[in-house]
Amino acid sequence: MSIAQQTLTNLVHYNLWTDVTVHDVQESAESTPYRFALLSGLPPSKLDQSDKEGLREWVIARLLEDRHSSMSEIEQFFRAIESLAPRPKRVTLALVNDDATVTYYFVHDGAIKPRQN
Amino acid sequence: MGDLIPLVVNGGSILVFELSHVKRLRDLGIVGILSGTLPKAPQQNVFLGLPLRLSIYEAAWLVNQSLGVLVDGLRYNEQVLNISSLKEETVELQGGVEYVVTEDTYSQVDDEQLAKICRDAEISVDALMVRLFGSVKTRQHLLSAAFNYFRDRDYYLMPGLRFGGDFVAYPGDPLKFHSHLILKVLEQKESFDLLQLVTSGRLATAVKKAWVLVGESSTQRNKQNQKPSLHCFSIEWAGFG
Repeated sequence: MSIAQQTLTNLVHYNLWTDVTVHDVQESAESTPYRFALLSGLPPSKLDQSDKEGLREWVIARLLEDRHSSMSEIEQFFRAIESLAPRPKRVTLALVNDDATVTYYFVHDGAIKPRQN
Repeated sequence: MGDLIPLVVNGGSILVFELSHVKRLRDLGIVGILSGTLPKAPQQNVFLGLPLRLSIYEAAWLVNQSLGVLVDGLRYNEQVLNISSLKEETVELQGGVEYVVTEDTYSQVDDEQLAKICRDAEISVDALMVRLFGSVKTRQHLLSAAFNYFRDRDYYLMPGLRFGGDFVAYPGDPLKFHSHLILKVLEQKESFDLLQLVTSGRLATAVKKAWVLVGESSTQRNKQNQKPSLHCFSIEWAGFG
């Protein structure tokens, strides 16, 4: 199963997201091939207090197995979304492990004030 | 020049001995680390006092802002001693320990004299970097740029080792606030391990902070003034999964 499918299954059936879609990402010719998949969906409840109701969340699925990532790859996450929609303030990074665990991290664009939890 | 705070370089340390200077630095958002022990307890590691020890990044920021001047400790102290007359006097305190009591050296040196001494003993940031690191390394410049970036945005910075980063950033004086950000500075094309994103991101969230990657932005590099333009991404646990 592809990481996009695996993440979709995890979001829908484990985290109860709805309307989850896998997006095609156009890679620019000169850059290295993307090692991630792009999805979006609706979480069952607001992920952050300050989020608007019904906010569509962008999800980047990435295999934990290919260990190395960089600032420029994170920039690619945002670029990939920008080819479809305005640049979001944050993306959710889904890290897919080989034991079927998927763990989710927010990647915010810029320095932010941490959430009060 | 008289207003410049002398930052005395002794060996590899940048030290501030004057309490009024330490107070001014605090108001400027430069915290440093108190490093002085009591003479009887040289292994003391809490409740430390003067001198205040500054990091090279704090010192470089002060010099850039024309608030401080780096001076060579040996030349500086020789000249201060020449002006002030030391009346050394040995007194014996309880326990038979002898102390040498000296008068406050600064009270005898006026601002004009101090400014002249600072001019004579001044060393540049780059010269100190070479002295500390062998040669001027790009990593140190980048750390310095990251320090400046956050200090100029009103964050107070402290060493990041406690939380596994390069710096910890506070939204105000660290005595009044908890820190918000754990900064990890990355060179251009430097990679990081995704497992580190998990461990650092989870740790940061557990202590109500964000793990912030700081690096040079590849797109808007300003070639003319050689100043790296910085970009950051903040990482937090998403709260599910």
